[in-house]
Amino acid sequence: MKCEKVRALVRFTVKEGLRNKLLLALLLLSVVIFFGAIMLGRITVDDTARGVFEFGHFVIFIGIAAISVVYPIFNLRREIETRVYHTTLGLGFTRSEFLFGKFIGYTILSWLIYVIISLLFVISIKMFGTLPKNFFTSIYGLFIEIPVIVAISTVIAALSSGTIIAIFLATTFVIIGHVVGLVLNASRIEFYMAQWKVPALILSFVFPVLDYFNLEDFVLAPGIMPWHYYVGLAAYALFYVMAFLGFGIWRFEDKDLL
Amino acid sequence: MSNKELRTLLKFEGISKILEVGPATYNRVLKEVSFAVKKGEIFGFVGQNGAGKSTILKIAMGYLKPDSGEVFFYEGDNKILPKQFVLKGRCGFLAENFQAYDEMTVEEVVNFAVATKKAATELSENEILEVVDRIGIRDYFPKKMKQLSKGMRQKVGLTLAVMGNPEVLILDEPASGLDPLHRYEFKNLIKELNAKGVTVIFSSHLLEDVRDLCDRIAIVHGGEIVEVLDLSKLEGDLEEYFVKRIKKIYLSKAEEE
Repeated sequence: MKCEKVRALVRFTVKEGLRNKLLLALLLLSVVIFFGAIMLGRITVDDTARGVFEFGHFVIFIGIAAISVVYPIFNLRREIETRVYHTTLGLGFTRSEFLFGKFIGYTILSWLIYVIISLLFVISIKMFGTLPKNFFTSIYGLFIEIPVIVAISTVIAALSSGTIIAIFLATTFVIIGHVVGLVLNASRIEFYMAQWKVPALILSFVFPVLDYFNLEDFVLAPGIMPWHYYVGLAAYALFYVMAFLGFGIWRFEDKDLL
Repeated sequence: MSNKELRTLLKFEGISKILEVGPATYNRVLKEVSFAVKKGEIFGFVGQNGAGKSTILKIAMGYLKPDSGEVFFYEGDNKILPKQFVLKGRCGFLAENFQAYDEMTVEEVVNFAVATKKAATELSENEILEVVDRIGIRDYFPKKMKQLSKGMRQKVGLTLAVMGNPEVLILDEPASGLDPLHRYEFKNLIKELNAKGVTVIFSSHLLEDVRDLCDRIAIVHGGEIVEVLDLSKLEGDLEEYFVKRIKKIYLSKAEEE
């Protein structure tokens, strides 16, 4: 894999993304829903700062997860369906360089959007109170989760046969990834959930437990998250990114590019 | 073909390919296709829609994997697979109805291609960019790809294919939909590149272009190569010959049934 080629593709993918109307529309929609949620949090929860944080955090997660699923799939499927990837590969890319470059490009785009919305989040919280001590811990969680979601979406887009089916599959992956974590947690505490513990454990080996990246609870906790938890979480994300991309590249190498 | 080298560059040996054309529906698009392209020649594929011309070109680029048979490029006496040949930057490709990167400007697309070719070959940026002025797309630089006419887009596509001095050009219907001026320019460019030693393999419905450009052609019908024809030996009109040949196939099939 040649770094210069991957770098060129990453730059190109990011530039293309910044001009993409779908991505812009998704960003605007996320901002609008975000402010809607902030207002709702302010009205419905007694503790204004807490309401703003919880509603805002939830909406940001939904928005960023949706962008990380939808944009890579739409962009890559379009390249495949309009045969643009024949041109790109014809320039001398290996299929692994192509998929890897696309993945990094989409991740950077999702991160950029996340940074923009997070800044709005910080401003909104500061308007209604003070920033919680562990605020950036929760920001970190989703920041690290983004590459995992993008890897899932990129690989599914490259290997599937259509846009809608790819979005359905990637969304299912993300939902299962979160539900498995929730079930695992709940089965330790709630008696009636115990029956789901074994299936959830089995699924947690196949799917990344995306709920580990949800660090919202740490924000209002009195202590701080130990540093090895940050590193562990990043390693966990890296493992699944490599696993998904490895599988995707292996299958994509053999795929007929019609 | 008199002053051209006779060494084989690309060889298809008994290539068959089945593609899924619908849910659980398969179509045998190529049947035991064998031919060889010689270094330095212009080799054309002609045939009706769906005959299998594009599939042959995609297999030559390594985009499709044959179900049976062997395909390889020659590097001296060594055989190398299409994928490896393409990766070395030795093969330029222009897809049918080239349409790419709508929101990007031509300059950005060219810069992207230059960065990639620089990494794939040992050429300098200036050497790679020479072709931009030769084909004359510098005037289009500020325009977005989606603002270009079909002829202009094909020119950009051809520039990307030709960048980095490839040894082989594989072009899928490169002149379809072009106006007479663009077609004329395209043919001149192909002749010029070929004179410099570039082997050109292309498919076309435009038999006039094929007659003007090609040394040899393969007539493709129903996934088979029915004839490889040396155009220097063909007397008379190619179109007439082609129509007769295809009619003959239909007649013999009707008789068999």
